[in-house]
Amino acid sequence: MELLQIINKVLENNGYQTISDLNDDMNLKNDIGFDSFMLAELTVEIEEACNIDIFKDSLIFTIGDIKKKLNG
Amino acid sequence: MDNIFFIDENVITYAQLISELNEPNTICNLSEIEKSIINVIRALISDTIIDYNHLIENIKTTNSIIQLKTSGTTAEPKTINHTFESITRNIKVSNNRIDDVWGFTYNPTKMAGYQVLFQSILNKNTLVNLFKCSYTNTSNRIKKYNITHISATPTFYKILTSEKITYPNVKHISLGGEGSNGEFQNKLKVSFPNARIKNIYASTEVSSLFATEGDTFKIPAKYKNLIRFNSGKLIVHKSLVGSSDNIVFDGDWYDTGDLIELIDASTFKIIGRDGFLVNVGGYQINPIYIEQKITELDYVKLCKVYSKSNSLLGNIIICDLVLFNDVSIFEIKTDMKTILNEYEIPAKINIVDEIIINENGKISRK
Repeated sequence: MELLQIINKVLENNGYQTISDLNDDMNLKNDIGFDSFMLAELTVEIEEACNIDIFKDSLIFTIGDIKKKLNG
Repeated sequence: MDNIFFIDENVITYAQLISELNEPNTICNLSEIEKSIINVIRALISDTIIDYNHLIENIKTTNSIIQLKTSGTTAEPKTINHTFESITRNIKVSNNRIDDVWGFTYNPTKMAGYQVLFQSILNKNTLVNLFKCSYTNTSNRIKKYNITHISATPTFYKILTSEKITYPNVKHISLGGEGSNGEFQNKLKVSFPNARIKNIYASTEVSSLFATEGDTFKIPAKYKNLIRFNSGKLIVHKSLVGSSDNIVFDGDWYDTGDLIELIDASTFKIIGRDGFLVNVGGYQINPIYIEQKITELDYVKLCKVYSKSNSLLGNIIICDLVLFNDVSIFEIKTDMKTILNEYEIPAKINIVDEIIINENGKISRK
């Protein structure tokens, strides 16, 4: 599952409008609207899809931060 | 006419039971459950049995130690030794119970199975096997054999009442082995309109201790000096506890590990298990409480709530749901907000086809 699909799944699960595209500068809280519980849900979805814990050892603020984690 | 003892693959009368006890293999083609039940009884008797009264006398005066294994729902099973007296301390025997017909839902080699088996035998009742029966078979047997009494786990009743069928013949149901709240018990009244509903506190370690209508237990006068509350937990005097190398006493007292909410000096609710509270972002969360609340939603057939470690919040709550009909995750979360605090709402909700139930009729927690 692509990152955009995962982000939209979490948005949909929480009653928010989905988004059509992502850019690396997008802030998860300020631009996409995630709160801490949605971020937790996001970590679980990404871990299930990619087997990577994105918050392990570092903080994540933007889409670019997630991509860096996923790309190692 | 001879009373019927047990109905499963065979219909076994008390006379046939006695013949089988005296001479094994008198009855052909016994089912596994029939063999198991007869072996439980055989282990308690020492004589050749003459008749029913002689059988009861033999059982009641047995010197046999009864070894029971804990269910292993949440941990490795351990062996607890009981006497017949300690297992049957709350069994009621009277002439007006002679027509009771019991549905047998438990494994006969576990504590709850022993209690239902001897409740039935000591009153010369009929037991109808429901253990490991399919939903359809269970439902049919309750009606066909006019079962009046059922003792089972809340999970058993959740599955049984998932179809809108009523069982007016059932006069008494009791719940045990897992937590249940007053809302769930009220829901059961739709399927069992004529039943008195009792919630039982029992475990393999302490046998049956309390019974109540609703979810608030009151300590009976006879246990007044044998029950304590300490650090929000239920503590029981060793005289009420079976013996085992695996049980650790603090002086004369045994910590049940059950968390309680104290209502007053002698009444309390069970709210969870020690060690099962989970820290989620700084909040102490009780998954069992959440599970019971979510089960209140009309479209939820079965629910299992558990936790998983998470680098962001410490832990997160996950919920597996079996639903009666299609409902979106967003709708479920919206409904959860009406019955739970925001931090109690599971971060991950999985809609699943089934939730594993162990052979004791409980949701498996392993």
